[in-house]
Order: sequence, then structure tokens, then C-alpha cells
Amino acid sequence: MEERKYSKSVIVLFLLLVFGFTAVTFVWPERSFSENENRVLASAPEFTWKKLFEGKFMSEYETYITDQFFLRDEWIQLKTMTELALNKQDINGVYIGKDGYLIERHEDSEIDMEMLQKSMDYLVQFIERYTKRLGADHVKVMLVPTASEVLLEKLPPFAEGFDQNGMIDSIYGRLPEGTAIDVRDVLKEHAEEYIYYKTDHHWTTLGAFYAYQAYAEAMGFEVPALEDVTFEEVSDEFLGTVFSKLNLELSKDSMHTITLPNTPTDIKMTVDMAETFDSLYNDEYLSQKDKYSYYLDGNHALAEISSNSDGKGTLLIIKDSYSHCFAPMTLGEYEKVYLVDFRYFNMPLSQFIAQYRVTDILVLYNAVTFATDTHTGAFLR
Amino acid sequence: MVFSSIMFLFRYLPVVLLLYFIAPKKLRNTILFIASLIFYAWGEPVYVVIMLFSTLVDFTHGLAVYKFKQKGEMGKAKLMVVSSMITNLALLGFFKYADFIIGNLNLIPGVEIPLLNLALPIGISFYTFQTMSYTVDIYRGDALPQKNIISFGAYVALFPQLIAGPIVQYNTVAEQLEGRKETLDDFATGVMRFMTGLGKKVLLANNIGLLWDMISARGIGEVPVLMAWLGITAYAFQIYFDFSGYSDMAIGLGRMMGFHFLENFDYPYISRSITEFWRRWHMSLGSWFRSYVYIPLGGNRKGFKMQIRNIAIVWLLTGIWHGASWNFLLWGAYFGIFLILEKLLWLDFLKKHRIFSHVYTLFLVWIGWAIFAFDDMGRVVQYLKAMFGLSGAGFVNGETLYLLLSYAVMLIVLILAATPYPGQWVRKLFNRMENNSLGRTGSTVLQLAFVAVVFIISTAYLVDATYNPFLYFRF
Repeated sequence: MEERKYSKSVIVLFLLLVFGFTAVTFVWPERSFSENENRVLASAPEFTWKKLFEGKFMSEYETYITDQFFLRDEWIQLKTMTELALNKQDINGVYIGKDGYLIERHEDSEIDMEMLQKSMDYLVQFIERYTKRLGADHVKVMLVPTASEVLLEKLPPFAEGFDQNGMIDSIYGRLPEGTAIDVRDVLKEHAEEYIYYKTDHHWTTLGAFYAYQAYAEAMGFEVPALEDVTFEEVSDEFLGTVFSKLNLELSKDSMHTITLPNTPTDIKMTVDMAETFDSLYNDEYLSQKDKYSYYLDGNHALAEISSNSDGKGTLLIIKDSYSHCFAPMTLGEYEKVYLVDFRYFNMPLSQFIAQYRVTDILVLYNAVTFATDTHTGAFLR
Repeated sequence: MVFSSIMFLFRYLPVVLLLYFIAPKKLRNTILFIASLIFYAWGEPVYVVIMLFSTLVDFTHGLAVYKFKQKGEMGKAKLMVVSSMITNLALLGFFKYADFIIGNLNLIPGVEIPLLNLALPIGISFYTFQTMSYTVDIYRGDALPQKNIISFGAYVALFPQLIAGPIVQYNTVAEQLEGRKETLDDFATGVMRFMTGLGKKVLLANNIGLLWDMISARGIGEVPVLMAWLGITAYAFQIYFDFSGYSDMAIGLGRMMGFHFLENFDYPYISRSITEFWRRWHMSLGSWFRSYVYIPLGGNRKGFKMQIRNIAIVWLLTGIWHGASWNFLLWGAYFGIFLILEKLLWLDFLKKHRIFSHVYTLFLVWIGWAIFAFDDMGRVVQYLKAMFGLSGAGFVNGETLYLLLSYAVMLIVLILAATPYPGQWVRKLFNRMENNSLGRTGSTVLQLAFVAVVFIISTAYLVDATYNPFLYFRF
């Protein structure tokens, strides 16, 4: 009798879990896009006999039901919580740092060392060439370490990864005198401050500001003091790319714009020679998931910024998205600022530099993007 | 199809169970047969034909063997057994070993035979072994031939144990094929067993597998001694919980439908000798080789020399059964040698020294896994070098400590789960609780809560399935 009761309750549980969940999967509404994972979810595969015999139909169908499984985001969250409970120090390549910091873990295996070697050669040749043409005072390189190399106090014990410092050292050692801007010590000095986002792989506007101070000093510009600049918070609910890898909200970020004493007021920004804004910022993104694209309207092949600045000359920033909160600070010193992103940029760079009468060049990347970039051949085109 | 997938849990299983249990008893084997073919074809839509061929061959051979035997024509009966074995071994040889043999022949100067590059049909090593056991069992009089091809097909293709075992010998399920009874108690026991297996595979094996993949992918100069041992420990746990989890799921599913399969694993890592280890690890394979190779060769009955020869044959075959490459052969030979040495020299010594025997066994098994894990002998050697400090990467580094810290909780769980103790403690606790009716309810609730949590978290891991390998594609 007791056996019976036990068996029956096991079977009821089984029916609930297996048959119950199955029933829910059939009535649950489908989604075409996952904001959290930032990808299109699979939809029902089309049946053909060919796909059946190749086994393709089956694998597509499995992807489809897994992608469309009810409460998908919540299941993924449950997995992440389990990993946290198991005291895993990193989940999906993200360190669970102190004070709510989620910090990307970069491993040597992610880096194609041969490609990196080539990238280094391209960069060095490019800088050598333009140092001769424009002068060493006008050509600078700034490689910014990511949070895992700066916020050491926030990392779990013994965490180490791809040696960004070593890479920066070896590049800086080969660059012509005076062209390298080393912001590592500056950032480390301020490691206790809010210089990297907790949920995103970018530095904050404050972090970029400290780097700008170093840049201004190297360029011989007036170096703004922290007291002289104004930060304005534009969002306090930013959940960035690192959050998306985890899909578990441990903290939120706030985003700021910065105004220097010499920041011009009348600004025109044209992206990809097509769309023109009268601001550096696109408010539309603040209500979306991808809030970082608020700065300079996100990634474009080319952005052209002109303003009523008192500055002289034309600055070309060859960059990744770390520059998006940095570039606004340079406007007071230049008539025009161009930003070029090799991932999307097709025009030969030498032609661009000549045609747009570039007087100053800044190469600005975070160390990991540079190490993994496969488009660096563009430096020499 | 694999059990640990959304597809199996929330499409295949509910549909098959529903059809199976609403069908009248007479039709259940038919449903099982068709369902099993779909299960197989889902992953191998073309190779299912090979399995059907093997089924047909042994069905007819079985009948023939029986007929000749009844007529007293033992020579012809024997011929039929041989014919069945040749067919099955030819299939296995062609699909599994041809490229290995060709590859090695090509090492001879002047020989250049093109490789076949055939994908290995999943489960072929399991079902060919099963069908061979059938004709032999009939020949020996251990079983009567199955008259119904559907029932026989259901036996061969039986989806619970089709692709990763256990290897079910025909004589152990012959009666159940026709006369099994599905009961509530069996179904419930099966459910609990299946859920446990699912958790072992998805939560334990897959998780620690990540650690092994991370370490084994590193360049050998970057693996200090401690990391190498951590890595191989991760692999040892991955393969044990994966394989035994799969067997648990198979046994559980079988039980739900009234089958009683034999056990396949019995806490192998608590063994105190290699001899004991192989009585606890993949038991269905061991007993298959004992019944159909070792004993027919004469076992230990023909003198000591012959026994050593027989052990050597069995262990080379056991090794190569696991995959067509030299490392598996070496792995089998390695264990064969230690089994012989134990028999000859130190089994008694091990029995007397408790702690030493545990360390000795785990040490040898762990070295064995390093041989097993890479089908490239060069990498086997490199990894062994790293384990013994010959890789030049020192004893320990920051990364090792980081990984150790990151997986510390997991490793403790794995160590406990690899021993019978947690199960014993829980059973003791429940027995004490079940003295009164409140306690009985409590114990039921706890057990149900446990499997529900395991199932739900497993589902979460399967929904976000970035890592869910199938380890037996080489078997």
C-alpha cells in the first residue's frame, strides 16, 4: 500500500514535469529575436525529403524547439544561478568580480598569435610612415587595457588570462619615440573609481577622461582638471554586453556624457557620409538594449564631426568602440575629427588621409580588440 | 537521438510512452520497434539500414541454428553461428576498423590505399555484440529462438540501450520480450533511475567536462604537473558520470516499460585493484567478453599459459572495441598486463593494504585515462610527460589554482557522488524516518523534491546547451 502511494506520487511528478512541460511548449508563443542573447532565434524548419535524409531537418528541428522553449531567458538565468551556487569563478567567460563587477575573461586560446604578429607589424609600419610625413607630435597610439588587466582588486583570486600588458609592452617598444601613449598606470591609479562599466566591456566616460588627460599632455594641449569638467548622467539602467553573456542582473550601470571647458556647442556629425546629426549622441538608443550606441550613434565605417571649435587641423581616429566616449573630448582642439573603423571601412586609408588633409592621427583600441582584429591589413592600404 | 536533449525529453519520450501504454499488450513490441527505429534514424537516417540488415541476418541465422540443432546436425548449426559472427564482424570491421587498418598499411613504403572516410554508425559496436550473443545463446541452448521478427527487432533496436549500452545479452531478456509486465512500481523506480542518470550526465559530466576540455586544449608547455592531474581527474569524472549516467537512463527507461536490464556500473572508483575495477566498470562489456570470448577460449581451465593467452586476447579486444586507434589497443593491453600481474603477484598484498590499494588503483586508472583520452599517441605521450613534470611547465601556476578554486565545489560533489556513501546515508535516514506515517510522507516529499530539482536544473542546462557532447561515437 505504502509502496503504491510512493510510486503513484513519483509518476504524478513525472507526468507533470515531462508531459506538463511538453504541453506548455506547444502553446507558448514563439519569438523571432532574443534581446538578451542579441540573436535571431530559430523558427520552424521547412520539411524536405532531402533535408530528412541528410539529417539536416532533425538538427534544425532540435535547434528550433530549444530556441523556442518556453521561458527561455529564465531557464538560462537558472543555469547561471546554479553555476554561481557552485562557486564557479567565471561563467561563460565572465568573471564574477567583487562589488557587482562582471569582467570579461580573455584566454590565450582566443588570440590568433600569427594574426597578432602581423597586426603589430602593420601598426608599427603605419606609424613609422606617418611619423615621417606628419611629425612625431602628430601621430599617437593608445592601446587601452580592458577591465581584467586594471581592476585587479575586483577579480577572483588567481585569475589571469591573456597577457595584455605584455602585448602592449612589445608594441610600444617598437613604436617610434614619443608616439605611444601609455594609459595603464593612469587607469590603475584610478582603479577604485568608476572607470569601467560593471556590465559592459567598455570603459566609462570617466575612464576615457583620465586617458584624455594623458593624451592632452602628450599633445601639448591644455590638460583639463577633473573639477573643470561636467558629467551628465544620461541613463542609470545600462546592462551591457558582459551582462548579456550571463543574463543575470547583479548590477546596473550609469552612462555619462562629458563637457570640457573647450567643448564646442554647435556640432554636426555625419555617419557613413549618409546620415547627419546635430549632436554626438543618439537618444533613441537609451530606450533600447544596446545603450552604448548612444555614443556617436554606435559603430560606423566612418564618422565625420565638425563644429564651431577654435581648434586647428584635422584629427583621424583609427579606432574601436572604446573611442566613442573619448572622441567628444578632442573636439575643442580640432576643426574636424574623423573616426574610422576598419571592420567596416573599405576606402584605402592612404587615399583617405590625403584627400581629407588629415594633420593628426590617433590609433585608439582596447588591447583585446587589437589582439583579435583581423582587419589590420587596412593600416597599409 | 540522445537522452539528454530537449528533443528526447519533451517530444520523443512523451509521445512514445503515450503510444506504448495506450496500445494493447500485443502491439507494444511493434511500437517499441518502430519507435526505436525512429530514435536511431533521427541521428543516422541512412545507417538505420545497416542495423536492420544486422537484425535480419541474426534473426534468420538464429532460426537456422535452432533447426539444425534439433535435427542433431551440430556441424551445420555451428556453421550458421560462424556465418552470423562473420557477417557481424565484417560490418563492424568495415565501418569501424577499415580506415585504421588502411592507415597503418599505408605506413609501409609503396603502399597507398585511399581511405574510406566512412562515418561510424552510432551504436554499431553495441548492437552487433548483442545480435552475435543471440545466435551463440541459441547454439549453446541458453535461449530459444525468437519466432517473431518484430520482437527480435525490438530487442536489437531497443532504444533505451541502443546507442550507449548496456550491452544486453539475449538470454537475460528473452522472457521479458514476450512476457514482461509493466507495473506502477517498476515505472516509478524507472523514473527515479532515469532522472538520476539525467542529472549525472547533464549536471555532473558536462560540467566537469568543460574543465577537461579547457586543460587538454592547452599547449603542453603550459600545463604544470598539478594542472595535468586536475585535468585527467576531470576527464575521469566526466567519462564515469557520462557513461554511468547514460546507463542509468537506459536502465530506468527500460524499467518504465517493464524491462529489467543488468547493472552496468558499480562505483568503479572505490575499487582496490584493477581486477576489481573491471568488475565494477562497464560490467556488461566485461561479461560479454567473458561469456563469448574468454570462456569459449578455455578461460582458466586449460592451464596457466593458456589462461594468460586468453586474458591477453580479451584485453586487446576490449581495448580496440573502444575505438579504432592505437591508444585504445594500448589501453586494453595496459589493463591486461596489470590484471595478469595482480593475479600472479600482488592481489593478496592489495587486499591487506587498504589505503595503498585505493591509491594504487586510482593512480593506474588515471594513467589509463590519459592513454584513453587522446587518439593521437603523440599527445598521449605529451600529456603523460606533463603529468610527471617533464613538460617544463613547473609544478603549479596561478591558472591552476584559479581552476582548482573554480571547480572546488564541483569536485567535492563529484568525489562524493562517485562513492556509495551519500546513497547509504540517505537511505539510512529515510529508513529511520519511515517508522511513522508522517516520516514516510516526508521521505517521499524529499525524494520527489530532489528529482524535481535535478530535472529542472538539467532542463535549464539543456535549454542553454552550449556544451553537451556525446562521448561514444568511437565505440
